Amino acid sequence: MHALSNVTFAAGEGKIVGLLGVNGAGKSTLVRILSTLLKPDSGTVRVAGFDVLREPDAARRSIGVAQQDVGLDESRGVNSMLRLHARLHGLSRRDGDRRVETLLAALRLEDVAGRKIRDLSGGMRRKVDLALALVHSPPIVFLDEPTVGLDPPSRIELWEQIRDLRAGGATILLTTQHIEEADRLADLVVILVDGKVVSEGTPAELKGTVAESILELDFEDAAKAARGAACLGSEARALGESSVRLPVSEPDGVRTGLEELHARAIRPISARLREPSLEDLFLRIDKASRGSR
Amino acid sequence: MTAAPGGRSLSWGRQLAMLTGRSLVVSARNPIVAVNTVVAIFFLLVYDGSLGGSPAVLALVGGNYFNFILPAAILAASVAGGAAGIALVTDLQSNYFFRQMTMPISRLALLCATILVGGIQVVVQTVAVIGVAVLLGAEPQGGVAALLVICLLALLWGLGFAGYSVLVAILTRDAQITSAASIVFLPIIFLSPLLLPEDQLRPWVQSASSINPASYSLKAMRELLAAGLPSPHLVDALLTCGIFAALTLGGAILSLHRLTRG
Repeated sequence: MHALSNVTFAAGEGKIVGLLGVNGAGKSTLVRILSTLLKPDSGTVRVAGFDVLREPDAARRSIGVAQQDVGLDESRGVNSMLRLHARLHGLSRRDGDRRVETLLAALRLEDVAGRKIRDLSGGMRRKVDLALALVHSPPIVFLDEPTVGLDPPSRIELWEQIRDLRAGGATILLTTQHIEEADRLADLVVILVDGKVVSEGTPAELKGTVAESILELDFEDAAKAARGAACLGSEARALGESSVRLPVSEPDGVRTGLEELHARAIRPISARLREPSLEDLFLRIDKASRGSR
Repeated sequence: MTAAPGGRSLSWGRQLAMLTGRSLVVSARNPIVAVNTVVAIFFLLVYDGSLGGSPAVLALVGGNYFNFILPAAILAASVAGGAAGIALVTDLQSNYFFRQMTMPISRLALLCATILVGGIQVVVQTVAVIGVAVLLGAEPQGGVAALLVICLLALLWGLGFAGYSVLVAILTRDAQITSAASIVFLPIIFLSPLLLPEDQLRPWVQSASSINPASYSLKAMRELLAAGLPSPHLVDALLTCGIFAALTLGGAILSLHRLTRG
């Protein structure tokens, strides 16, 4: 049993690669291998052109890593920790201090610069963790589910900062379970299922692989939605508490579905037809992979 | 937010110095160092209070029980090197150790800094214990050089215990187990001429004492306190605790390799 098998993809410079997968798909394992925390059983892994097994120090110099669980020294202050890391990365005192000032401003951490890490909120800690990953201005940044546990405003703020990073020329590997996050941020999306790459492309290309449109129906309550889903067949899926989502590949599919419901006196309160999203593709791939197990 | 990729490579020595500085700041905030010092001084007082007033015991140990028991208190203080493992568990559990492992710094320097701080803590405690012992009546005859060599022996024991606790910390990542692992200290310190000269011990304890590395250090420290350099047991003492420190460091390095094997 391998956590990862034949995972191959190339990330272009100054791009965001979104690595999508459910829990246990192998995303974090991949990030741990790329960031030299874990040795692969076999194969070759190159980061910024450096073999992570043969030239780990050169690879580490090129990367900044924000892991799924933040890695901070709780007992230290924000400012002193960033300055220590700047020095450990080989920056001179002057360059390090300047870089830390820039990061504190860019990540809006100036107000907490003098505070201890242990006294910070989850969102602030996540930002400090990101600042540590960026203190040496790495060309490649690994962000392993960076928005987990953040409230919506903090998440949106972090998205902006990730876009700023890309604008500054960094190449970013972003693992996420949030399809919306990958859709909004990534230039290239790689979908990982059971440790294997099953799909890869730009968000638009991937959406284009889904031939169907999506019919979304809202019902008065959850019971009616469940009856509606059962009536529409195995392709129908619950969407929230009282809605149902049905992929329809032919124009007649919409009419047929609505007629089925009408015949059984299950009337939706609203219906809409929309273009497929990344989520639809992801759900289809996930369903297919479950079926093949 | 990005600038030119920064930084030159730091020498191994500079990495070690910076990481040691960081660990020293963390350990200075930890009350365990003060607690261990108090325990070592308590050890000194209790044994002198119990046995130091007995003429028979004084005759056996050469007249000054403080001189005799001081090396035992120093050895007891060396178990404080185990605080290094607890500090490492904190870094492992907070994920901070793994962040450091993704940086271009030597993993050996990471381990050595943690272990070195354990050794430094033991030396600080040793100086405090010697100071208290002198105030209470110990009379070191060997001079400053002998006291410095005693500190060196304490440092090696401290490094050994620190390496051992770091090994346990990496293998278990559990503070309670790492703390409990210092129980190995009990046979090491008690199966030795801790309280009485070796010829006064029962035969089975004498046999255990003869293969116990702590015995050589106790004997050498007593010789240094009584007569200074040269000490007949010093080479044996330096060798045994040096080997102990090297073995535990080697074990800690091997366990770190395992950590990256998934």
